[in-house]
Formats: sequence, structure tokens, C-alpha cells
Amino acid sequence: MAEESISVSNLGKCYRTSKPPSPWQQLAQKFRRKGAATPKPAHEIWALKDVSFALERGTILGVIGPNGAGKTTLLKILARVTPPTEGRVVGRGTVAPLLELGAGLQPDMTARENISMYMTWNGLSRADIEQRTDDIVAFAEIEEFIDTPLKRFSNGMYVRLAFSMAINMQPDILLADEILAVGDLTFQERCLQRVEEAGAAGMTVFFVSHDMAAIQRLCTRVILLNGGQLVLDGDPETVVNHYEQAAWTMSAGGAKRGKKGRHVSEHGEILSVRLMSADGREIGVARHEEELQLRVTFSALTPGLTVRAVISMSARGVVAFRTAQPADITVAEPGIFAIRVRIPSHLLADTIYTVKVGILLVKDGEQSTIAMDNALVFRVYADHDSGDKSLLMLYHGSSWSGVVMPELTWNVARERDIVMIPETQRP
Amino acid sequence: MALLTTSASNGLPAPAAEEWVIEPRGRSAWGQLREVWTYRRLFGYFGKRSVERRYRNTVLGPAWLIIRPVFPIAVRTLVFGGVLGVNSPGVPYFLFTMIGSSVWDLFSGCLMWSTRSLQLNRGFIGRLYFPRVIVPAATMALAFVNFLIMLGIMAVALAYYYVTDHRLYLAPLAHLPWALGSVVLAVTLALGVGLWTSPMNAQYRDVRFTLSYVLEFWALLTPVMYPLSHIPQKYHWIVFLNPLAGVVQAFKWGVLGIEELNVTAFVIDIGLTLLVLLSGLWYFTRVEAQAVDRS
Repeated sequence: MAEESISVSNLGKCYRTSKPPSPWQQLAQKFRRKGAATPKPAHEIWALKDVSFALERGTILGVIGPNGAGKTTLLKILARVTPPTEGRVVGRGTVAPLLELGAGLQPDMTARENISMYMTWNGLSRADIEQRTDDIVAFAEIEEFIDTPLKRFSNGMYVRLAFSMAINMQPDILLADEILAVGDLTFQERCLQRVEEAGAAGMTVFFVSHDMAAIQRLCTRVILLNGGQLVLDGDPETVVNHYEQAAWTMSAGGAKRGKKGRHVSEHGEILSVRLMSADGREIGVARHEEELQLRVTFSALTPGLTVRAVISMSARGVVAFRTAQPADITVAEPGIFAIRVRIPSHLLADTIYTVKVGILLVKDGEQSTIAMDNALVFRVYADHDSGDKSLLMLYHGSSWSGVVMPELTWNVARERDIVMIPETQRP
Repeated sequence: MALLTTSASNGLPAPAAEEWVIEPRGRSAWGQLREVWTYRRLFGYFGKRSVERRYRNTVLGPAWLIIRPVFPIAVRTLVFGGVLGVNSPGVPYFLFTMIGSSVWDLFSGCLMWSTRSLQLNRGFIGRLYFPRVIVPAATMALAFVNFLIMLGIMAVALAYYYVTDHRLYLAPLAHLPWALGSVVLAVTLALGVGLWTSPMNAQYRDVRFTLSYVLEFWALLTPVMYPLSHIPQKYHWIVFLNPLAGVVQAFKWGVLGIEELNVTAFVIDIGLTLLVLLSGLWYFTRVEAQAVDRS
């Protein structure tokens, strides 16, 4: 049984959204007669509620969840930057927070002064500081700039310095919040390796990230937070899968909207947008290798309406492609219509897609549109295991990922021979 | 959080590390004070930072350190000593107003800066952990630098009067402990009050504005610009209800050997200061976390 590093029990943090009553209001309240209407209590938001877990030394804990789930709040409490409202944390050893990269660095001071400052913050002695400065500078690769004020640093150098300072503190517990959000790919890779090594050497790491690939690679355990609550705690694969499934069940209900909005007009309404497998089952996750269908239902309310639908799919912040209904249809009688769009297998990349649906309605030569922006969100997995696993090495990192991954026709053939001249006969 | 063990050079954190606890109430006042020692170098850091930040982006830069205290003193000397003809007991009026103002400004400056300190260093406090009590204490460095500069100017003035008047307006060395005591008292009392006002000011900025008026009025109640002899003897006890009166009188007596020393008032001041300081520590450690959250 390994030694316990940190244990969190029933941790909760409550923020008030409105300002607390001013001293005058508090005073006024004291003099108010009993039974008189008291002002509404301030609205409270529990950023974290009833979170409990315990970690052994050397655990690399992935903390995942949507924005506002309480990930950063958890780390801020552990870093003692903000006190919890309830609950208790018991930990062992030193804690190095890396909450906002570069927080606490002084732009006017040189790198050397900043390192010394940071170590002082963390209560290190002068002798220790000198010993570690070299390690920090070497890892951050800023040897030539050690006596340059930070305000002349590039963003990359700044970030490298911040990470290097925290990890070289050799804390017992490292709190890393989105450290991969900045910095170039090679540095990210070195960060990950360094965190991996540190974990193996007994450092407990809290690793908050939206990069599920990094979480799965690095972490020995993952917790999923949502709405301030601990939803799931377990091995990386289970928790990450659960989170990714949950991410779209949350947004797949996009079609259940009010009677107002851009998707409704006097002529018609987009009713639902669903992802279906080839055999007609509704699904939330798709595989790259399978054929899919998008099913859009809409109502047309005006007789004599001409209808034409357009669908666009976005991924990684860009429109991956757009597809339009090839020809108009004319609605003779009001009714509910279903559009099915077949998406061939081996087209979508292994990423998250957002579907936007728009319908052009023409009535007596007058055009109008109805549209649903985030009609559907779903994730596509490419099953690397069934393919050639050795390619994974090449794919790692986003520079190899696109928004589509079409199956194209490849042909590799010998063009002509090369005559190899033995080395001894070269001029 | 404990000191890192130095034996950790092999990359392994020391196995038997000190245990710590985080709870809603935060650390006790005593726990925080013990931690202050671990983080003692931050005093220098915050002190330096507060002085540097004050005069950043100014053309005259550190020259302001001298101009700011001298200018009001010159005006006071002209108005009170020259135009109104307030008499100063045994020393030139410039020296008289200088001696009173220096210790008064030390107190009011320390109080003002410690009150604003949490607000001014909000960025740090929201991102890094350290015993917060260091901030109001260290930010007072600005007022202390001001005080040292005034002492320097006073030394120049003393030398000047020695040459022109052939008199050294300096108290005998035996008075020195009283001067030092009054400086310690002024700073400690300001810190004690600042521990109350700085968390309040982090939440409600009204505190700072109100305080500046209070201090202005308080300065008039304290024998800074006039000698105590201007007030009839039977009302002196009222004057000494103001704890700063005892402090200022002791400083005048300790440095220039002028006016009389009120030992009773001074001893009461010591008791009062301790009371304010301890209650301030208790209050500060109780509310600092919430105050910063809400500011």
C-alpha cells in the first residue's frame, strides 16, 4: 500500500453572484421589524460541492470536465489561493501551483531574479535556489537570456520558464492547470515527458486538460467534474469515454428548443436533427469506418412552398464541408418531412463535429430562411487498433489531424531503378 | 507548506513530508505568524515593490521621494511659522514642524498604505499562496522610506543651524530610547489599525476615502504643527486621550529634547497598541480570505 499524498473530503466552494449586503443594509436589517419582508438572500453558486477523493503518492490525476465544472476552483483551493466553504483537505509535503502560466512573474525583473523570487515564495533557502537555477534555465532553454528582463521574452520563453520553475521545485504535489494550452509542440512533448517522469518518481500531479489524448497517455487515474460535482472517478479510459459520451448527450438535445428562434418561421420549423447508423438506429458516437445518416425533420406549414436544405459540418473551429439538397421540392400540402443525408464511411476524421442546418423557403417568389446553428454535436472515432498501429507514432500531435479523413485511392509503384555504386569505386 | 527538504537533489521528494490541512476557517493567527518566518523574504520583496511602483513612469523618479515630504513642510513653515507666527519652544519653527510631521507622517503613511495594501496586491493574492499578513506590514515600507528621508533632511537642517546659530538643537543621547520607542509605537499602532482596515478596504473602497479625512482631522488633534503649550494645562488630559499625542511628544522630546514627556500617556499607548495589534491579527486572519474573494 503506497503512502497517501493528499485526501480531499466533502470539499465545497460557494460563490455569491450578487454582492454581499453592505454594512448599511446589514444594519437596516437589524432594525427591521420581525415579519417584515426581508430582502432576497444573495444568489449562491456552488462551484464545487461534496467532492471527495484520496490519492497515493505518485498518482497523476487527470481532472476533466466541461468549462465551469469546478476544475480550476479545485486547484485554487489546493493551492490555498482561495479557501473552501466546507470540507477539508489533508496533504503531505510541498505544493507547487501552476495555475496560470506566468502568474507571479515580474516582467521588469530578469529571469534570474524571477527564479530567485519564485523560490523564495516557496520558502527555499538561498543555497537551494542557486543549485536549482541552472536546472531551471537548462530545461527552459533560456541560457542566453538569464539576465534579460522578462518583458523582452517571447511568449514561448515565458511559458517555458514558468513550467520549468514549477517542476524544478520538485514539489510533492504539482497542480498543473491547462499547461498544454500554450507553447509549441516540442515543448508540450517535453512537458508531458517531464510530468510522466515526476509521477514515476513519486510526485503527485493534478493535471487539468481538455486534451483527452494527453490525459489518456499521462494519467494513472482520472476524475470527471460537472457542475461542481464529482461525476466519475476511475481509470483514464473509462472516465474519458464516459465524458466524451456525455458531452454529446448534453448537446444532442439541441433540437428540443423553444418555439422561438431562427429555426422557426411562419412557413415552417426545423424539428430535429439526429445522427443515425446505416441501419437506422440513433447514435451519439460514430466510427470512421461506418456509414452514417443525418436525419433532419422539419414541418412545412404553407401550401405551395418551395424548400431546399443545406447542411454544414464544422470541426476544429473551421467548416469541414457543406452539402446542399440537389434540387428544390415543392410542398403541396402542409406536413412533416424527413431529410436523410448519407455520409459515406471513411470520410470523417477522428474529431468532434458540429452540424448546422439551414432551410431556404420560397413562397410566391419571396425568400426566407430557417436555420439551426448547433443542431447536433457528435464525435467520430477512428479505430486505430484495427488499422496499422505503427502509424500512431506519426499521427501523435494535432499537426497530422484534419477535419476530414477521406479514403483515397493510393498507388505506390517503382518508377525506375537506382544503380548502387560501391563506395570504393566512388571518385 | 513546509520547506522543501534539501536532500531532495536526487529528484525524489522527501518521503516523510510535513502534513498540512486546508479548512474553511483558514489558519489560526498563531499558525499564520509561524509561517511568516518561512516566508520572511517576502517582506523585502513587497517593500521594494511598493516603493518602486510608486515612482515608476515619473520623470523625476526617486527625486519625488525627497520632494513629496519637503514641500508640505516648507508650506507649513511659511504659514504657521512665518505668517501666523506660531511660536516653537526653543527651536526654529522649521525644525519644530519637521520633527512633529516626520513621526506623524510615519504613522499616517503606514496606516494609509497598509489599508490599501490588499487591494493594491490583489493580483498576487489571487494567484499565489503566502501568509497574507505580510502584505499590510511590508507595504508600510513606503512610509518608512519617507520617514528616513525626513530624518536625513532634518540632519541637514541641524547642521545648517549649527553653522549659522552655533547651536546644536539635539537632545542628549539619554533621550534616544524614547525616540526609538515612539517610532516603534507609531508603526505598530498603524499596523494594528491597518490589519482592521485593509480587509475592509478590499471589500469596500469607502474605507480608504473615509480614512483620509479621518487622518486629516486627527493630525489637527495631535500636537504636530503647534506645541502642546498652546493648549491650557487643564485640558492636556483630553489631548492625551489621542494615543498619537503621547507618541509625538515622546519623539519630540527624544530627538530635540523639546516640550515635556508624558510617561503615563506613553505607557497607556503601549498597552493600547498591543491591544489593537492583537485584535487586528485576530480579525485579519479571520476575514482575509473572504475579503479577497469578494473584492
